[in-house]
Amino acid sequence: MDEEEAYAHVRNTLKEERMMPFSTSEMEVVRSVGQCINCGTCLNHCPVTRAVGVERFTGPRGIAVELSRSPPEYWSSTDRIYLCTGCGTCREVCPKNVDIPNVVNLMRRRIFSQRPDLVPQSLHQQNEILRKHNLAFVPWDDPDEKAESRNMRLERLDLPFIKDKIRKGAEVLFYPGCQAEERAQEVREAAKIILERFNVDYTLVEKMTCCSLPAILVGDMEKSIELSTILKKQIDDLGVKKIVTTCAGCTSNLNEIAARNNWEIPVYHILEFLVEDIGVHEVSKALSPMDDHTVRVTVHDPCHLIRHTSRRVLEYAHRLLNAIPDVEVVESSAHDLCCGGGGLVGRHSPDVSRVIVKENIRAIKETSAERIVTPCPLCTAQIEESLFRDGSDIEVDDLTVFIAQSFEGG
Amino acid sequence: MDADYDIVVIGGGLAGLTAGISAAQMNANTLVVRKGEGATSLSSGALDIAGYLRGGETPFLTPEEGVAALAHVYPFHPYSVLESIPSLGLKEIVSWLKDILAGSPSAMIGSHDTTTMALTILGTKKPTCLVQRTMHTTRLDNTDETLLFAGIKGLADFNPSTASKALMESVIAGETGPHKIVHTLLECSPFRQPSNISPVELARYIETEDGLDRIIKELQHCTEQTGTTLIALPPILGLVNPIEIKKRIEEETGTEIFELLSFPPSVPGYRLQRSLEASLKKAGGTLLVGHEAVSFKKQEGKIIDITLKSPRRTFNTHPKSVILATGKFVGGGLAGNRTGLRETVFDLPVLDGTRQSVQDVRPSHLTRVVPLHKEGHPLFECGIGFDTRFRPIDVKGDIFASNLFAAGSVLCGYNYPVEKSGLGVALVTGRICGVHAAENVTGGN
Repeated sequence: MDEEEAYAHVRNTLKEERMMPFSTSEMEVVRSVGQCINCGTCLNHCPVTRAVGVERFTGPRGIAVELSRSPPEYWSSTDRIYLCTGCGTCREVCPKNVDIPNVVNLMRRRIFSQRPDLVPQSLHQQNEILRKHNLAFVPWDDPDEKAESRNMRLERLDLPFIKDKIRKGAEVLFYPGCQAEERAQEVREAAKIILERFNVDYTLVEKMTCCSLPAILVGDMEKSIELSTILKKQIDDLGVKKIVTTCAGCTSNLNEIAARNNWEIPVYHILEFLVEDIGVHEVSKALSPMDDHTVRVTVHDPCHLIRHTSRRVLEYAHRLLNAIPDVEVVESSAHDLCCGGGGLVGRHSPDVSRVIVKENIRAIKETSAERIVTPCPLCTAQIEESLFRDGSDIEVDDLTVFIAQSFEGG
Repeated sequence: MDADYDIVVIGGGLAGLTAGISAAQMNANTLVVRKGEGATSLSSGALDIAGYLRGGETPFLTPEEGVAALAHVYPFHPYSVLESIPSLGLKEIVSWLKDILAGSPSAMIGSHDTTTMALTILGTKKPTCLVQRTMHTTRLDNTDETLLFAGIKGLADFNPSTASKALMESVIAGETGPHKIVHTLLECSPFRQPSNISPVELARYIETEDGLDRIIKELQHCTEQTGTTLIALPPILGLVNPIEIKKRIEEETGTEIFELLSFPPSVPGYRLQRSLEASLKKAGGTLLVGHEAVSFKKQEGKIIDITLKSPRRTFNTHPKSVILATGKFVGGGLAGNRTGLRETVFDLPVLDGTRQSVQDVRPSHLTRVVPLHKEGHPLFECGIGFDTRFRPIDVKGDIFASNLFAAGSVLCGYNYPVEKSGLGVALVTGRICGVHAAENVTGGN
């Protein structure tokens, strides 16, 4: 038996014994857990622990302790590991930089590959959709119905329809993400209006496929690699120089994949593109008052932008909002608090997700805002549903749509 | 995309925020950039200035006396700089902080010329200068009071029985204190199980109507039975409006209540951090969380560029002045491994309390065999050297950059755990650096 064969043999033995050696990048994440000093700062900030208590969700510290102080029998943690929304608050406040969001993903990955029976049924269902359609949502059966739904949305928002553009060699790829592709189509349309308005040389993808974040959250490593490979091939075929998205989750996930796999193609959220590439001054020339009175808005900061990408993105959001005439921004005390929509928690434990968002709703209602805007279709959906359930008449808009709506003559 | 600010403060604990607020109040365009939560949030929320001389057992009579004594005994102590700046004396700085925190959830009581002996969660007393209004009581020395230590079932941080025993022992030993000390465990859990509750959870619970009613009912029951006049609670009186909650409980129970000093991360520490952030905003400064300073450029003896990094973005600033307030080991300003200690942003030489280089000394060699030593561990005195304007010094002993200032626990020369001077040095040096940096900016124009 030569060395190669011996290695393969050992690996197979490990598999039989349900042991998975850590890869180099995983090892980094695992080592970060060893830094935990058990101070409990994360528990003070975790939105899930705040909402349901440590009895239901032991919190980031519980997860860290579990991984660092006992043998890694991940399945003992399954009732909790799927309650993490992946907001990244714990990683941000942690004095020792413990990378909890990636620890959670790592554990979900291991549970999925070794004890799929312990993965919640709802996540398996989500994964089935991903495997079947390469999308996070079941796509529309009938393209005409999809178009009709889109037109209805555009009509309600008083936005024009612009035909899709797919063009090889374009400068920018506009990647809408699954939510804007299949559900919140107005976000996808609004982004096209914006890009068109500033004469951006852009293209869409030939066939929309998921960015792979939901597969990572389910723990299906194989599918997540497949999805990112499909997307990369499309990107290469189109020959674009940068990617612009309207989804917070896609922005952070594609940035992470691009960095890890040396894509050398920058990925921006459309807010960053507007401020950095077009310029606030240029954008403001296109804006006009939306209504005959001052519109008071409040902003919700999506975790995938502020904590996984950069808090400056939301600073940009404020700069753009301040450039719209007759828009007054009021701050909600929970503006940067997770809305509970992330980490597929809404899929598998909607009850938990609903308690988390209560705090956001309370804070939004406390402001005098008549409208809440957020640059993420997922946060928009989560907050919209909760405000509706609450009986509030505060309107909810994706920020991309809000900006497109305030274009002069638009 | 680059951003321009007059002053960039690296670090957003007490030192960084104090510096940022001071500079912003002087109309400098100020950015305070912070990676995470800041170590001030981990503090007890009381502001110690000077408690003891190293090795001493008798607390200073006043913080003012303590500052003078420490400066006198240790010529390299950060407090020794105060003498050379008559316009920014301890009195001015303390009242400045009280002013900016007035009306906030962590409004402070105390002064530079009185040492407050604050009661801790262990039933012991600790010398400090300022305590938050909710932690304040003047009746602890009255002998005719009945003091109730009220713990919460499931809150592991506080054991009211041992606390009352410890306090009783000190009264028996001759200290003045209440003649009757009782203790109880209240049952009020925000979630079903009364176990494993954190103080912040309780603080949020008490801010709900249900939570407040529950705790009042439990306390009423207990005070009636024991004739309590004074109640010591763990620090859980809310994150946003603790003063109203205190008032409400006092009215309903006919007693005076106060919060004990507690372990990190405490609710008052959290309140102090949030209140300072609000003050920075009010003064016109900007706080950017989630970013670390990763590199810098120096030209002609000045820092001209700082690179800031978030998880996925990097940008540059070109400040006229920079304040380094990154803290020590928990804050991340200093890092140690088996080869020695280093300063993490500018790679400044790390010195011990006597200004000897400890660059190549293994950190474990800077600790004593006994964990709780009266003289403290030399490791905590390590930090960067500084001149009389708190400008860091380089390997040769020269000023590293004319527009770089340093504040807080990144500085060498003081042993905060034994001196009880941690937040005090952060406050004094932060305030002085903020003013100096702002003067540097306006003078440079």
